[in-house]
Amino acid sequence: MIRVVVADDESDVRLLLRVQLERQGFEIVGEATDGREAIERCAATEPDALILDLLMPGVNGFEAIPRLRRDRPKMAIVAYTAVAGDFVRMEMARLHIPLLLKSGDVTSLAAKLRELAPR
Amino acid sequence: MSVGLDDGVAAALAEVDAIRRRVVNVIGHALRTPITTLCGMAEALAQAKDPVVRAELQMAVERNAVTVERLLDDLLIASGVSTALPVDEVSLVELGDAVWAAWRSIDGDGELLLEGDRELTVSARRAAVERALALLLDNHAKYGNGPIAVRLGREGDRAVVQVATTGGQPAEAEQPLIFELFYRGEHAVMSAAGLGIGLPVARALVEGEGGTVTLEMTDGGVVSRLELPVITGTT
Repeated sequence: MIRVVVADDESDVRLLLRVQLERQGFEIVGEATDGREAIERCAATEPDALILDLLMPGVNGFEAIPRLRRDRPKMAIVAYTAVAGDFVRMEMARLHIPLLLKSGDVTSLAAKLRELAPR
Repeated sequence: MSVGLDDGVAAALAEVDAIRRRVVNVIGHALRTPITTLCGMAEALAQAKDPVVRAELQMAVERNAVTVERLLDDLLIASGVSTALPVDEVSLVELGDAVWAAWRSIDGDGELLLEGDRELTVSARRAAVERALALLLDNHAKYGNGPIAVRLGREGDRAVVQVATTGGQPAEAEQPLIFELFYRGEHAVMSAAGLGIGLPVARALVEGEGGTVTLEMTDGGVVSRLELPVITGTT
């Protein structure tokens, strides 16, 4: 079972991802509301993958990525955001992090997690 | 024969086009999260069998539907459509109660510290006061750090609500623009999705009740200041 941490400041987005991904056979091992918590949860739970919102109060997703990469280089990171302008797209391309737009249907997200963090 | 636009007209049209793109972009992004969440929740509800999960999802559907409704109301108020303004009767509003009601309405996650004269009372449309307070509290919750400190007090014939957090200061060059519709500073853009209409809508609502909304930069923080005419005879 692929073990996943979800980092998003919107509690309902976290709820929806938990319900939908658990139904698809993923295990949600932690949730975080900003980049700092994402770093802490990933250190504590050692997940296979992190779903990372980019725009969050406090330490945002962009700021957390270097530390997450350094701490857990093999962990898959998927950027999951409502906002994907040129800057966001270029930054994620530069960091080689796949970028998915938030959607009510998690089929693409689930497929990407299976591709990047096979078990 | 070609017909060329005067340079000034062309520049003005280019500016209008840039504003139009910015507004559509901001609205699209602000609506994306609650609407995609609603779509997902509808599907998840149809599949969920566990009554606890169903109850969680039903509450979340309601929250997100309210979020969309408020975004639309705020957009209409921001654009000057008066039919979106609260129409409840003017009544006596205790500001302490109004602050807590506003805080509950945004499902504030963090800590709110309320001090001062909680029974300070104004005569206003309750919905307008609570919505304006909710918008200010939401701004501080999204962009400030640590607990939100709210102080209620009286200055002359004005009731004053001050909402303060540390951090989250817009850059100096951005400060003259923060009450502009659809303007979002760099810190705001990087912190959370939003429409960039919270402050102008809060100001429009409070001005409708005879008051003012201003923002002050302090040493290391931001204070939102809402003033309304106080009821004579209250402390």
